[in-house]
Amino acid sequence: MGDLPVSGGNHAELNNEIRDDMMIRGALFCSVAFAAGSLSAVDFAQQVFPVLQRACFECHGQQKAESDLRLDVPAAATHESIKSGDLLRRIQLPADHEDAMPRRGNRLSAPQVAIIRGWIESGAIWPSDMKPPVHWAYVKPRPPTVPTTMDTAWPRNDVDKFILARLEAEKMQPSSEASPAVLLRRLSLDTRGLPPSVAEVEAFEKEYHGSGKEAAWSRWVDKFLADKAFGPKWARHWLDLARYADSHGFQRDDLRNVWAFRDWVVNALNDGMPFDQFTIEQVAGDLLPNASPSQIIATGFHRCTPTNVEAGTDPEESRINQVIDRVNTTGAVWLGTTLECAQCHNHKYDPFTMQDYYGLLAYFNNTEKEAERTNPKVPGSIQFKGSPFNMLSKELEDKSKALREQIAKLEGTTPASEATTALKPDVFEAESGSENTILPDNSVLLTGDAPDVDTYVFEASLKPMSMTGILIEALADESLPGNGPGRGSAQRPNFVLTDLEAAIGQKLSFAKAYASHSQTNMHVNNLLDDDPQSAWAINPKFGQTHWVALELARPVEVTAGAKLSLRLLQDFGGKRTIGRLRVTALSEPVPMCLPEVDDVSSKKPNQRLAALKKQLVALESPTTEVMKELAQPRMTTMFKRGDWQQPAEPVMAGTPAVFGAQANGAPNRLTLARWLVSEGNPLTARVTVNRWWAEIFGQGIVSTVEDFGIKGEPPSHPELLDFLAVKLMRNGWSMKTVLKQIFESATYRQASSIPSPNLDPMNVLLARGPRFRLDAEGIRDNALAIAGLLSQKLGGQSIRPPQPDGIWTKVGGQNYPYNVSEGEDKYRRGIYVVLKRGSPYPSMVNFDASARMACVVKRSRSNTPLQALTLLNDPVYVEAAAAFAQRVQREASAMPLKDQLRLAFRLAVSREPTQTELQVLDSLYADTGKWLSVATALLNLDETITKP
Amino acid sequence: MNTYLSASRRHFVKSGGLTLGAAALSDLLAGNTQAASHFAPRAKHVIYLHMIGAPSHLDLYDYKPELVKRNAQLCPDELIKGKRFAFIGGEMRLAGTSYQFAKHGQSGAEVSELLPNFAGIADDVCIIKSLHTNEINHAPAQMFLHTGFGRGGRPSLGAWVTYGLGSENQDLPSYVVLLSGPPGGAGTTLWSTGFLPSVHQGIQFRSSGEPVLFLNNREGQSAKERRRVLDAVKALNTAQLQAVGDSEIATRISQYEMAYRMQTSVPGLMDISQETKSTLEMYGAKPGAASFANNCLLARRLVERGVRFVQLFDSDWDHHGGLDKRLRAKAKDVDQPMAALIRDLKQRGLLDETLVIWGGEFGRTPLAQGIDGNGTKTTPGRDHHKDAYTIWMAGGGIKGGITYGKTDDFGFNVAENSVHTHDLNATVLHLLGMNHEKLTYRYQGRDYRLTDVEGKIVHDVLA
Repeated sequence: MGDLPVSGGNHAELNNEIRDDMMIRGALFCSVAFAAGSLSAVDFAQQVFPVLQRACFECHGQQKAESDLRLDVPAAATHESIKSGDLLRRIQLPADHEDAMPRRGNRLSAPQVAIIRGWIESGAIWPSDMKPPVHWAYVKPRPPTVPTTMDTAWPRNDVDKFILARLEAEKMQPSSEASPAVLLRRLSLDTRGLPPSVAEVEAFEKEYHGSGKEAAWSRWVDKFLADKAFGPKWARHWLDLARYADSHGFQRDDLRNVWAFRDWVVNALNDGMPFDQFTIEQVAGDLLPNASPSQIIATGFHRCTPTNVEAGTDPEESRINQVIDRVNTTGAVWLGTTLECAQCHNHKYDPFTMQDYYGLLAYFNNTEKEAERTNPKVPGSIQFKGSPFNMLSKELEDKSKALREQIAKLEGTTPASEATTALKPDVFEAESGSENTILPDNSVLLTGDAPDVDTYVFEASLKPMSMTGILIEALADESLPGNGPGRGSAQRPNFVLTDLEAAIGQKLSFAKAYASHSQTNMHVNNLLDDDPQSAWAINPKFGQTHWVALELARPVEVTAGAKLSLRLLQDFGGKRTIGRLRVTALSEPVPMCLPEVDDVSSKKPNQRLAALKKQLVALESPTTEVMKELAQPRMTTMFKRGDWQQPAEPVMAGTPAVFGAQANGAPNRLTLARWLVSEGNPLTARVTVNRWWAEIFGQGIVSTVEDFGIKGEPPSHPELLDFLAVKLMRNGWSMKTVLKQIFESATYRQASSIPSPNLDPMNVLLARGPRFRLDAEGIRDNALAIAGLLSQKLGGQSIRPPQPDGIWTKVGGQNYPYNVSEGEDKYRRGIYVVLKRGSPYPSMVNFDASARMACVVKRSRSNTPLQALTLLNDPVYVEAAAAFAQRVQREASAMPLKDQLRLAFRLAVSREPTQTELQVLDSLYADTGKWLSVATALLNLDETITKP
Repeated sequence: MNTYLSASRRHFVKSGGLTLGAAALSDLLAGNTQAASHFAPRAKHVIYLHMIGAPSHLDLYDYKPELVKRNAQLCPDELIKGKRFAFIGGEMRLAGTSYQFAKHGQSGAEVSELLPNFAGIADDVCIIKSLHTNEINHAPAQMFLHTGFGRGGRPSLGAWVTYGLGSENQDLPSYVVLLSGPPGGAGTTLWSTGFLPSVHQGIQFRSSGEPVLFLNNREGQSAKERRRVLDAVKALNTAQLQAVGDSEIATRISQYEMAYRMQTSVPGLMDISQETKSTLEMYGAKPGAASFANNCLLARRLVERGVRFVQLFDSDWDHHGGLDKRLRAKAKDVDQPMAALIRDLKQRGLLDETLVIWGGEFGRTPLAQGIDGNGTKTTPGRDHHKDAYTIWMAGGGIKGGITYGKTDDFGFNVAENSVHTHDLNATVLHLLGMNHEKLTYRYQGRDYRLTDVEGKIVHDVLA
């Protein structure tokens, strides 16, 4: 709601001031020299220039010299605005003053103003030998000296020494350690995304107080890091970056299969795959020598990009937009840099040119087009074709092989078996203009909006045969309302075939009709007459496949090249049209060819064969979208003003110039991927450890986790950042090694209560532990775990937990019924919940989950009334509360009431309740007489949805 | 709401609603809200009527006698050179309107016979005939219009407005969405917060089922019992607040109270049977129905209660074929209610402070379309057209009774006073008292704006 009790979101601003003040305090200390007028080139370069660069160059730099003022050149020093004191005046004005500067970005802090004043008052000298300093983030991280601290007892490891040194400098004290129960809950949520069980808490408390707390803590850190719940917890964070979703996005928001990539991420995290390998496989696994299926599947990372296949879209425009998204995402994830400005012009303050941008773009410009026109002459015929990879498991492969053998054998002994092969349409047209897709089994699936009436025109080439009749199947299909076979409503997916004309050159005439079923008054024999009023329909047997077999008066000798054409009239109205159909030419006596039953033991060889083939189709292996390189690379050019319709000069693939030497190797994604994790790139390790730090502490050492550029925030603890980055690189890029170091620190183990007065509201200096709300998936997982409902099953197709009716409204594309997953599937973890970009799962949206139309580096953390309504009333949480209530009664019915309440409280928040808290629960139970009331209250506590 | 943006308020706006310090906590618990304008606003509320699919400006507002005269003739090459179309290709023929146009009101605004009621309010509205956009397909164009970017992931206009101004109402969301028919191709993206905190998202009020998702207590829970549970939650949260001192907990306590109030205020608001018979008839609204007419009436009720931004979406305006039959039907759906909305706001003294906008994501071609996306022949229609189309605005600081901008003789390109969708958004923010260049949010290393790096305020349409 717009009511201002809003919190969460972007904390950058408040941080900035604290950070600036703190950063500059040190700087000021050594800048006394100013007053004496003896400013050296070094002082200018290190103190004055960075302030000007960050605050002013965006508008008064090379790109844009507003009011003819450039502050990035020596001439600035003699400019009127500096001489007259105007600049000094304006940087000190209140922010809402019309003349206040800078107009964009943060105001200057007092120490920054002091630096500028000192510079101007000492004569505003721009030393001729000044060399602009390289921005800190573009200098390779080196192992820093670990500081010594006055207090030597508090630090548990080197992380703490960096933190404590700063606290001591600020004359602040770290907080005491949190209680064991709180500690274990924090660790469990940070490693597994789930609360610890009561038994785990009790076991840890015992070890903590008994066998030595350091060893105990270390053991539990190892134990939780090794838990298979680690993958799903940390995958959530990575899947936001990968903008992973289960649908295309845009108007034709059809579902697609990339879930194998999601599983790849979970497995890689659980297996402790080194981050350099993790990077290379996702960016370019397909290009590795002898790439394994898993390495190919990993490239799903860049196939999660949304695809616009709205009718009327230009496929090339769609493709270019996807490539641009891949460049921007790569920049955000590995370089911590917003590159997109350089799509249209050289970056205004960060050192990235358009040349750099299109050099990166060239790496991504050579994969297959994923949407194409099915008919090049028809602009509206764009379809998603994807770039799928077939994932045949060993088991499936064996089954498939056995079936193929059986089929081959049967076909060998049944020469007429080809008679049952469905015809592949050369032409299929719905006269209403309905869209359609030819499926691998040669059936035609109608998609898009169903028209009231329709006529299908079908044409297919025949093989030479003696044709006895034709078989037309109206197939059930998941995408049709009520499973079809008609296209009307889910309640009545009937179809009414009013007339059927067939011809091979000349009109065919049929003597007899057989059908799976005929509706009263609409018998299949009606297809044999010429009466336009009579028809065949299948009420009430909806939701299943139907068929009609028409027997020719006498067999027709078909010669090579002959074409069968059909016209199926369906003008009953009310969308009673066939949703998916398949046509087969028959060459055996028709009664022998009827697809009565799926009986592999049928006496009729044709039926046996049909049943086997059906099994084979059902076995069809799942696919996942991957990157596939073209044999012949495309030529990449710059685009004038970023407009793809205005190509400019050609560009070669290359890495940004600011990083010095170019990536070595062939100009392809693999070279880029290897460069991303090479010594030459100063950013990847820093950006990565910083994001992990932010996940754990609520904000990064660089609080702008997405921006390590000149306008990003400087790190609060620069040496610590480099220490962790170097640690990552020197320890085989092992994520768990870095996390272990963090979790074992005393910094992490501090209590999170907020002191009064609170000198550091954003906890930049970490004089206390982290405390913040769980993310959307975490809140659901946590509630299901507390309730005892959670399933920890890993992998596979996305799941569909209950959601309110009418969320998946069809707009373009296919109509999907939202069938709630059955059994344990609906209780699986949040990362497995299906994400349809046009209609994301609403209860997660309420907790700041993203529809993932683009890479999300940092989610907001808001606090709203809709969150209250969701936790109180969403049927998922209502069910969790009921199960939680039952669980307590089941597990503790023999205990006194107070102990039952105590257990319930511990299940929810791990720690023991205070007397007051117990009293509140006791009287709630007394007043309402229901465990459900107690369970609901506990699931709605701020503490329950918060990492303590 | 004439409070100008003080330093601290702008600070608040810029930082996207971060945790308020202890000083603001008492305000917050008391539910005090304040607007954060950059200057005095002309409008306090917006009702945005979006026709999903893009109505034909040439058959409703922008009369082109030359096009009528040359109906069915081949289109001059110079008009189509270098142009992109979504569906049509090959031989292009001009398509004049088949409807009668007449001048109405003092202003003499030209309006099609399909909009007889709208003709009656011609002197209250400003018709802009020179709007244009960058995108040629529905979902990207809807996103471009509402979020300033054609590929998703950015906040919508309504989210920007509530982010900038907050709410006036304690019991209702400040950004409400009402649908007649399915949503646009861009789905919930059109009212999402993008990268702003979810507090700024549009909340869909529904005509059937729960009026807001998860609003109703679970079955079998009495109001009394619910209150008792909430009291316990409050007591436990308060104890935790005292122990931990995190103001986030105080916020949570107040949000649970607001949720509780919404459970009463929302159903009351949605019950239009409380309206007089004559009001219902004026709109053509029927209690219990799901219609654009009902939604127009609800929009007035929302604005009356202080809701900041009301977004209506009406579907099925994409007339590639069957234009005559379908456009007639759609015009009939919206003509009476939209005119009633303006009259009703006016008679209640709300029009001055409420900006009403009507339009689509783009216009339609002055060229005939006779085949659909699969190449099948259809009855005549028009293709997508991004280079010129018509919208109208009324109330909230808009000069009524004028027509602004002009297209060429064929309605193909803007001939005079062009207005880009970024200009429209800049103007809307201006009317609400915000400078579109200053309403920014820093995200992923960049200060984002609704108007990207563009946008000029259209001063000529301001009262």
